[in-house]
Amino acid sequence: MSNRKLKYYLIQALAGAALLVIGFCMMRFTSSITANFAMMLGGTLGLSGLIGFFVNRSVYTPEEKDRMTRQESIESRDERNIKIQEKSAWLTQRAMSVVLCICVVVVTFVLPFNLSVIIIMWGLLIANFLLPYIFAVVYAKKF
Amino acid sequence: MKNRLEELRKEHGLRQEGLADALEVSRQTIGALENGRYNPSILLAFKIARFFDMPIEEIFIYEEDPGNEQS
Repeated sequence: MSNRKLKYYLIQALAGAALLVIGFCMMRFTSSITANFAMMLGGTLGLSGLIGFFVNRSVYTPEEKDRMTRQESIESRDERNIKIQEKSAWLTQRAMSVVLCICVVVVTFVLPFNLSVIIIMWGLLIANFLLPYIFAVVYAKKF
Repeated sequence: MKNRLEELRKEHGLRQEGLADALEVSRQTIGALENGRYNPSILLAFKIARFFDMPIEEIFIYEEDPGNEQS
């Protein structure tokens, strides 16, 4: 959906809201029928404008869909994006290692946990440090 | 590493979006390359060189200064 058409729905919603406010203010000064009519009209306009805006925002033309699919494909294969993802994954792994270490210390020495929980946590910690080396050996042979 | 990407793009009358489309990378990658924040892979460097029909070394200027080397 083009931005221009969406703008119309937004203007309609704003006009409806304005009419609703005007109707509300009119209730104090004029007959209740006119005020009620203004409020009813404002509410209908505003609601239909909002519905139109949100419904049409999710509708795309075939050309727009094609362009979006192509853009998504480019973004997923983009080498800079891949590098950013790799670096953030590496940083996350480092941060989670610290968290895991703290958890292991807590379950082993601070809180009275079941032995099986402690063993599982130690296993996870060892795997966390061993797996990168195993993958490094595997990939070193591949490349 | 410095590059002449922005200069060449402007010479060819292209916008970042157009160059990104032609090289099949994101517009942000072109921006990062032009600002020197990102060094391309050898494949992308070849693609850029082929696109502008120039040798790589005329587009990317290698400066031997490890202190300022960016990843």
